[in-house]
Amino acid sequence: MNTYNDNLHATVMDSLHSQELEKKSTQSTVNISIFSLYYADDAKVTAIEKYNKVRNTLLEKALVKKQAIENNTTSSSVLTASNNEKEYVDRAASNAANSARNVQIAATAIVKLASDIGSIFTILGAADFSSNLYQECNIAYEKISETAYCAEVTSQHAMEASTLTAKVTAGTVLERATVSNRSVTELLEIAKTEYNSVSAIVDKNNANMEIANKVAMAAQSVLEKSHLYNLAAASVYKKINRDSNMNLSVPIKSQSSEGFTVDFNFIKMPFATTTDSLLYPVQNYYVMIVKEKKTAIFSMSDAENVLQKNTTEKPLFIKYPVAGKMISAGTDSCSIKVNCNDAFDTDGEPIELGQNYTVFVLAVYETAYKKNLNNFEDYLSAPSSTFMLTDQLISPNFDQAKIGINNNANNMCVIDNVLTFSVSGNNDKNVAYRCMFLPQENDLTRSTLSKEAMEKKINFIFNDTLAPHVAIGNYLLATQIVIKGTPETINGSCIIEPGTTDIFGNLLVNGNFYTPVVLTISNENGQDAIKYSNSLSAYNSTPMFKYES
Amino acid sequence: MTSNISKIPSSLSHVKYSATEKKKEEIEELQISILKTQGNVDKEMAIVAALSEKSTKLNGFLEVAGVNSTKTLSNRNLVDETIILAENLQSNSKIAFTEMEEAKTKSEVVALEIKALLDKLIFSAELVNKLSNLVVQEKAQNPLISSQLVAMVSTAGTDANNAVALTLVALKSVYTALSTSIASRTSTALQYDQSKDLYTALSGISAIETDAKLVGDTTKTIKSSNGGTNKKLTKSIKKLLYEAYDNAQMEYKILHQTSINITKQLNAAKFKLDKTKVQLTSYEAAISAAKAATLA
Repeated sequence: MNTYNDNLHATVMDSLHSQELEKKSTQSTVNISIFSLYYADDAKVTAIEKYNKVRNTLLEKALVKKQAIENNTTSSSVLTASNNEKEYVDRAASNAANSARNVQIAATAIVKLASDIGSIFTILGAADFSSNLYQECNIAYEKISETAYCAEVTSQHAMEASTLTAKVTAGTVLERATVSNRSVTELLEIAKTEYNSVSAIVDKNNANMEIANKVAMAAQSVLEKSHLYNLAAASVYKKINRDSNMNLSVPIKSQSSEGFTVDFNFIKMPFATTTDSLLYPVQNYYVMIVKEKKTAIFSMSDAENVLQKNTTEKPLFIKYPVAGKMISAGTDSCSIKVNCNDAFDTDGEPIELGQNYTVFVLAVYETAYKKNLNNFEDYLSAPSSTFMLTDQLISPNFDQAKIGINNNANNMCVIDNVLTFSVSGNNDKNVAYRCMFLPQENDLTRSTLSKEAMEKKINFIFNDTLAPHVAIGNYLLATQIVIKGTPETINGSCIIEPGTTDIFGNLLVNGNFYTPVVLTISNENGQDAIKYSNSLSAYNSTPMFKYES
Repeated sequence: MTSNISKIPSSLSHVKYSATEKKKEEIEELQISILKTQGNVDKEMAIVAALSEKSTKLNGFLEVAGVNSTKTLSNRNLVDETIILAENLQSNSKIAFTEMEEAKTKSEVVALEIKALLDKLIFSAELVNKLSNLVVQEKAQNPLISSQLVAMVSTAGTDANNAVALTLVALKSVYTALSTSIASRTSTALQYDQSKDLYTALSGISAIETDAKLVGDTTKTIKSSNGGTNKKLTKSIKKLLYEAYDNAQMEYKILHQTSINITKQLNAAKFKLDKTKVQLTSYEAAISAAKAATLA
């Protein structure tokens, strides 16, 4: 054993390991910050919606109050009119009674006169019948009798008029007007009280909205800070890895369900090979795939054992020969494509999806070189960062072209409260499509499916980390219909019913705008679900819609 | 997990797997598991906390919605009651107006009659006076004319004067009665109009409809489109309060359903958290056991 190299190796291993832990821990802080921000944003969006809602309620209450005031004014004048009516009718009744009495008195006097003339007529009839006097009296008697009759009739009518006037139910009207006015006043009092209390709530909600805004801003800055720490940790890791660990990496972009790529720089010789006579001393590089849990104890001797083991059907390593190659700037690194079917991991097991792995690189030196140094140890790198291979699911997306040809059937958009989409590529997988609705800032009135509908504002954080954590009940599951053909496609749809909520669990508000987003997620249980990577539809390029129940 | 370790091929030439190596591997694996599980616990706790908060909030909303629903119902009932009172008032006003109209008409008749009566009376009184004069002349020429007749004629003259005077008084008071009667009719008409306005304002039913309703005529419907004199279309308080009630009912229903959903979610999240916590505890127990064993 060469203790110098061993010490160096141990130091590098240690640094990388602690840096990897640091990276993970800061990443986890970032994740927690994202969640905190998400929930703070939830509170913020909810507070805004609540404020808007109460403000609308206040407008309603104001309308009621306005009506109640108007009605109360009308009712007051009705009451005044009823009082007037009562007063007038009472006076009319009294006057009518008075007039009836006077007419009666007059009638009595007239009857008395008639009776006088009657007596005279009788006396004349007895003594001076057919005299001139008698004739005159006869005429007078006829006229006064008729007048007396008229007097009696008029008196009767005056009495009737008096009775009719007295009978007018002005008292009842006043009574009813008083009762109805009391009721209208009660309505007004209630309307006033309700308006005032809602007005107080509006003020309170406004204050709450400001607080929620502040909390969300604080959470935002915490996230930014933790993100910076994470970037710093990643950058330190990257530097150490580049300088001391051959820049060994498995680029995320290269990872798929089929395989991955291993990139590394060739070992640099401590003394640069200036003359052609000195060949590059490494004979072969071997890439070994190690389960994450075995990484910490994977040692040179394990690597040597792996190299010697050839009993399995597939090799436990990927060989990259460099013997005799010219190493110069530009050709001093390599990128090895590893297919999952090419090799087993160092335990002799197939490469699995959903399993965490690291890779090691073993450099085997030329024998001549070893002899020269009298050191027969080969070189084993420190592990790469952990990676996991998954099956990438495919999400539906909005197709602008379909708008052009006016065929929005199964385009990713909402029309008449139905979300439709079409997707191919997940055919043989047990997949769920979670349909979610992102609330938009609703101060805009734009026609849906237009270009402007794309330019939207969401005032909260949302990404593919958060999407799977949107609570059950805050998303809808799409109904899937398989359309046979090549490629086989799935037409999904879901109906937005009243009671549907946005991602924060707030009920969709009539007249507000929302953007639909679909999360494609594996429906498998626990361990199997890890094998798939979720996919989120590109909500930034999906048109929003106006919710109208 | 330990089973995996035992799977390590032991046929390799250099068997370097000492007990300590195994322990180290096991501890490492446990540490990774703990880190991950702790992460899961943190996440799930965040979810449970958020859901609990939401549930509490929602229950608050639900309670408010319930109170609101009750309140709007009582408001709706009050407006219904008020409208019934106003309708009642309106029909009473109409009755009073009709009664007053009748009384006024009668008073007018009386006024006409009393004028006619007075004319007749004056005419008759003139005749009586003429007769009286004739009797006095006859008495002067013929003393045989009974003095009783002369006395009678004198009385008749006085009575005629009295009757005319009294009838004049009656005429005056009949005119007074007529004038107050006309004023009363005007005031009842005004009151009736205003009570109709009140009813219309409260119920949103137009005056034409109200009249038709009072007459019992349902064939008349509002034809305001060609009339154009209809007041601006503001919602009546009845409509507003009915809408408020319907909205409150709907909101309560939806909130109630949502509340049930959230409670379900919360229970699911709690269950998941408990499970993860148990997992974490078992990992922690395992690691402390493993560490103890290594140090021993």
